[in-house]
Amino acid sequence: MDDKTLKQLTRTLLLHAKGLGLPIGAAEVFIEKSLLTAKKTLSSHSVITENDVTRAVAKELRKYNSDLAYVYQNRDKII
Amino acid sequence: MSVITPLIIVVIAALIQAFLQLTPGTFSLFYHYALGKNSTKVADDFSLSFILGVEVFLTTIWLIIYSLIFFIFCNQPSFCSEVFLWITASIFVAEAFAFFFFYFRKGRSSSALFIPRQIARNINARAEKIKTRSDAFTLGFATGSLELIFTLPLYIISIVELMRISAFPRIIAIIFYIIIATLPLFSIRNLYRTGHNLAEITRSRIRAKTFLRLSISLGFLLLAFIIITSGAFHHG
Repeated sequence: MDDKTLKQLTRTLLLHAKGLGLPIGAAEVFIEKSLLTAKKTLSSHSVITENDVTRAVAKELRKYNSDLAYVYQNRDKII
Repeated sequence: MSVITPLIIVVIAALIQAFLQLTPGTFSLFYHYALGKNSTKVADDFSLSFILGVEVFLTTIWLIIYSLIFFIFCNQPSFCSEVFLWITASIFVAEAFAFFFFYFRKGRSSSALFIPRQIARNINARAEKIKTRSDAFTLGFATGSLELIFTLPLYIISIVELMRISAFPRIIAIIFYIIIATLPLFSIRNLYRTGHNLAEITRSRIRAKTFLRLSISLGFLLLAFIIITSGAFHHG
């Protein structure tokens, strides 16, 4: 994951976090931690798909907030 | 002419429409994004515009179908016969099966619906980018049109049945239909206002999937049955 993707993901996740009514300060901290861990996990992969990113980020987010992980992972399947 | 049968048909049609999931799903997604980008007050404001869009769509389509049916029946009164009722009843039977098998996509953890994925992604992107009340209104209006494949027969049969009764109960029934059909949107708005979020609302929609699938399919079959029996009654 490059910096551009990370920034975009952070923006998207913060939007979802605010929509879910989570405290923004706390959300910023655990989103950053989750993305860094997900980046580390994915760095060993030779090919990374969008699904890999979604799964890895959602897995990390679930440790801090299950609602945010759920909304992020299912954002295309709500309707 | 009894007022009861047309009113029962209209109430069942309105309840079926209220249970359909595309508009409430889009609304919950839209409200979530609106809360993510704006204050609660602005999101509330936008949500009313969305609901207004759905209501305006409903009213517009009712008036168009009303005019068309009025034109057809004025010129060919005999067309309002058993043949028409049998055709409508057959459509409802087909809708019952279509709803049962195709309305919800497969997947236990997903509330994805029958619409093509590209359209769903477009709605998602549209809902995310809403900045003004008119955007919200247009999204509500457009969402109403996406479910026409299931709602159009409901509108047609409701209007045909309402044409059998006098003007005052007809107007009351139309208002009643629009209120019932948009009640889930007010209910979701209220859920958001009382602290619930998209994850909770979506999970509850997923839990209700089997119930909705069965009840709406049975609702369509019940409508077909009532139409046939009432038609036989009307025509002796």
